[in-house]
Amino acid sequence: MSDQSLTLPSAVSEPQAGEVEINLSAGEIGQLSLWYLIWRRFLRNRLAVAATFVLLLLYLMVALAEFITPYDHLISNEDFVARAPQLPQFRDETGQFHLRPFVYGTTTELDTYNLDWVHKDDTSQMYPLKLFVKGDPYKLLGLFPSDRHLYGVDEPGTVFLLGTDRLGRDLFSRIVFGGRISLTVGLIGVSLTILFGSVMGTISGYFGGPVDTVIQRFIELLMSFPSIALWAALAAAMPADITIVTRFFLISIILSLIGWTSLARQVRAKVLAFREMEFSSAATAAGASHFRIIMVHMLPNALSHIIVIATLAIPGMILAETALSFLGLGILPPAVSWGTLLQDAQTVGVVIKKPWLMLPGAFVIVSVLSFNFLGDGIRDAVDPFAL
Amino acid sequence: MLAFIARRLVYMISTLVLISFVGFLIINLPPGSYIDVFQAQRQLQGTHTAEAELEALKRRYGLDKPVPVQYWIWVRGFVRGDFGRSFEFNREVSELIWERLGFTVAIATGSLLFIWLVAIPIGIYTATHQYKLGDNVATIVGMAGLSIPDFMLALVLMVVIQRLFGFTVGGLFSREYVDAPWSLAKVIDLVKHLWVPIVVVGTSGTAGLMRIMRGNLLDILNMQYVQAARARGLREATVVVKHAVRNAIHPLIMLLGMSLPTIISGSLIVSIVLGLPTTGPLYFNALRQQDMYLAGTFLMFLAFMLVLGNFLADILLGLIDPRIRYE
Amino acid sequence: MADRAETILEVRNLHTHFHTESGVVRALEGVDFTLNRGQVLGVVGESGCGKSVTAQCIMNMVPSRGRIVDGSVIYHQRNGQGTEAIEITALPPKSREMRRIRGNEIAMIFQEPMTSLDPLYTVGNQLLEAINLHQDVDRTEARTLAIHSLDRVQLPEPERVFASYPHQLSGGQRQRVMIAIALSCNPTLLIADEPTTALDVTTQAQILSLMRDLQDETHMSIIFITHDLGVVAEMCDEVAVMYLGKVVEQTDIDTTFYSPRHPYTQALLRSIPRLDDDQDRRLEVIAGSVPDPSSIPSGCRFHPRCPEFLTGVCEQREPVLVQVDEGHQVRCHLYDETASSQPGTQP
Repeated sequence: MSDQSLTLPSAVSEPQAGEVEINLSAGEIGQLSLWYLIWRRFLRNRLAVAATFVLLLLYLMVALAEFITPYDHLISNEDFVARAPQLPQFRDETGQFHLRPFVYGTTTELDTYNLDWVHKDDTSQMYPLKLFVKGDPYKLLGLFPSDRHLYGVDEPGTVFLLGTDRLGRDLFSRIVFGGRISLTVGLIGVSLTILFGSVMGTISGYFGGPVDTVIQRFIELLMSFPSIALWAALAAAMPADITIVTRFFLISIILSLIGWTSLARQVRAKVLAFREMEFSSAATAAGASHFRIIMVHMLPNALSHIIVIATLAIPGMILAETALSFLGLGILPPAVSWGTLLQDAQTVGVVIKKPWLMLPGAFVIVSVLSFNFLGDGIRDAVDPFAL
Repeated sequence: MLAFIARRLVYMISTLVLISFVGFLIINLPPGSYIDVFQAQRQLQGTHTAEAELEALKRRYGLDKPVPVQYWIWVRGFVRGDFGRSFEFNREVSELIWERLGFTVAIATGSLLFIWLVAIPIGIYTATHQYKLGDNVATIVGMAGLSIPDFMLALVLMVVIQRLFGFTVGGLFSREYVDAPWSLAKVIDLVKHLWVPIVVVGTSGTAGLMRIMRGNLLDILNMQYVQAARARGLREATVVVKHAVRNAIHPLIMLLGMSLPTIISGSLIVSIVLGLPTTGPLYFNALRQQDMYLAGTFLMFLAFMLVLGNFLADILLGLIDPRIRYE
Repeated sequence: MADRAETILEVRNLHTHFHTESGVVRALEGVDFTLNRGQVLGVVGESGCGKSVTAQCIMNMVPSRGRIVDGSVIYHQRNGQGTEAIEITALPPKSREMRRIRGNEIAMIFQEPMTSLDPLYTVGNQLLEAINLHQDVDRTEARTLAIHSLDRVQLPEPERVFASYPHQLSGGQRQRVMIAIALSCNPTLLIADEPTTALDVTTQAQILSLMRDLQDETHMSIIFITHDLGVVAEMCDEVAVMYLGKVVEQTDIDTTFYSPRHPYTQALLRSIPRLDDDQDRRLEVIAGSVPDPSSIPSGCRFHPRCPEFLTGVCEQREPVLVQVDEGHQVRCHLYDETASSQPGTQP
């Protein structure tokens, strides 16, 4: 951009003409700048870009869950209860190298002391991992019927890459399907948060006076409860006989019911600042309606902030869903979410004996971390001077 | 200053009244009347409820009267220390609460101290060494701390301690002290157990506060009075500590009150994993059992504590900020 | 005034760059001027031309992202009979020696009186800070000195001001306090970075007259940074005009106003209204605006806006500072014989 303005004046002999050119190009930069500059600054933040890829991958995974998982996540298998992860191997007992990775079979013994079934790798059985194997039929994205799964092994072998739970269900499949709920609850919750937050914040800031006071008092009231406790109370008050889908949506609503408060405050602050600026007085003078001033002049100006706050609110929602479900107050079985999966790992004893049951937590951490990095990246890109 | 306190006090009381509305609402939110749930619970426990007992309950809570009267009866009970009755424990809610609220407060206070003692120095370091290695490491570790669910951190920490040191850290007391009367040994035992929940609950708060402190301090370091102090020839350490840090901490005191809800939330859920006799396990259990008088009252008390905490933070701010003190 | 022209501060070929996320901003690209003992030098220029950065360089207080890449600032300190030249730019910014100079030898007052006092400490506290740092006095003496310096800047009830918090004072009072702090250790050089810009006109006039009185009284040297030529006319003996990180002209006050050489200085002067103006004269403006420091024009930085633009010279070669008269330097090709004699460098 500097190169351009450098060469401009020498192209024209009149100095005045040169200035005009410079002003024009400055004007153009001003036009381009906001979103383009934000985009450029964002791309420079490697952590945020990497986080974006991780998130895209996670969402792709849950969207194509039926294809990616080798087994039905609801079918229990009493022969393989709480089996440790079957790790793909390249080298067999004899030390021979196999180009195609394989997994061992399973032998089961009864631990007579603890009265517990113990599964061990049976090194005499080797099942090579195969891609695109035939398995249970499903409809991809609810549209395309298929029975191919991304990976698998021939019967009677099994492939539980991340182990199985206490009913012998494939943990990887359960995590992928659990991600459907855990990763969408945040998105839906945040959409509602944006809706409530920006509407209430705008009304509060734009109209001021008693409306503002009432809304602000209400927000303070909501903020004076420990969020988990209030969420749990509202979740507990839900009727027990509702469907999984209704419950899922109600939980999203409950999460956003508290989440909107901080967004509303920040939008209000923005609107208050804008209200003082010339462009809104000009719009009022020109006879624009309240609605038009808000929609055309204020919300677009606060948009970048709303996006930042929303992105940073998603991790909180994911964590909240996980916590509620972990407590048995959120998503209820047979529906799976990362929180319900973690219910199996509530005690130290279990964690020591069956550490793989903590793996859903790793997915929680990765997705929450990614959203945090993404949100941070967007914030830095939108407002490089903010903290 | 007195006028300031009086104003905050009136404000606090009005908030408490509003909170009691919410508490009452929560109690009445679940479908089915209190009596129905009570009977169902009793049947589950295998006891039959006498008609006379039900009548007594109805009278006590005014269940046959309109809703505003019910609220009034409930609120009036507070003043006498009557918070209703828990079905599950068949005890007065007030008895159940006092035992546990104390530990909740202890853990919350401890976590708060932990957060401040750890976050502020790191925040100062990262702001004064912006974009250096230490800053980047702290940012990433802090981000990870923000992203781990509290209860998982508690579990992992318990496992690590058990593996490394070979002792279990659940609960607040060793077995021999649980029912023992208070003594110095019991207090020491308590402290030995208390640090795990404090560290766990404090971790996410530390990460958050650290970043806020860093941001505030970076802002303040650009202020003209910091430049002016430097231009007087003050040592850099004096400039940072006396002028920048004090100004950067100020807004955090306002946050102090606001961070309490998160800390309490954290302690509730961590208590379940760690098996601590705080409000957490009792509260969530009450919710699962729809023991609403217990749950509603707990919730209200937690909110009361927060409002009180906010009030104290406000006064603290007033005490140390001349702009508010002389308002 | 000064007994003889004795240099107190030399700024030579100063280059300061800032490393920002969107690239290097070349804030200073050749700042040269000299200041004599007891004189008031005005540094004038539009916003963003590097005036404040120059002040920060002299105090060796460049923000952490900035770096002095070339040039030097030399301060001539009086000791006993002679003077000792200290190269400020060679001192580490946090060193003891540098801190001794700051506040004690060179003091500074800032643009925004509302934000240049720490809101959490009393005026007295911040005043004593400076006094205790640079003077060997006990508590009561320090307090007396402090009250005296508040009195000296004509603050009524200095005792009360001493115990006040900044928010209890008006902007004008705060700027007086800043001056009191700056002068409390009797510096030989005062840098005033737009000290009156944020004040209303009446207060501005009072502060200016106070500064002039204090200068008469102490004979300290002052670098007066401003964009207001009226203030310059009122305050200064010498003027350095800056444009986009370079000093384009330095000369004495009369020459600046009556026979400026640089087209930029001339344009600046045409843009201020005069009492003796013909009523019909339209005030001239300098065409265009100051380019962003990250996209600086080639050659002479002023050429896109210059009415006397020489095609083939100005946009291609950077002018150097030439002496056109005794004590009068101009950075312009018009006065550089070597440049204007060979305009045909282009094909």
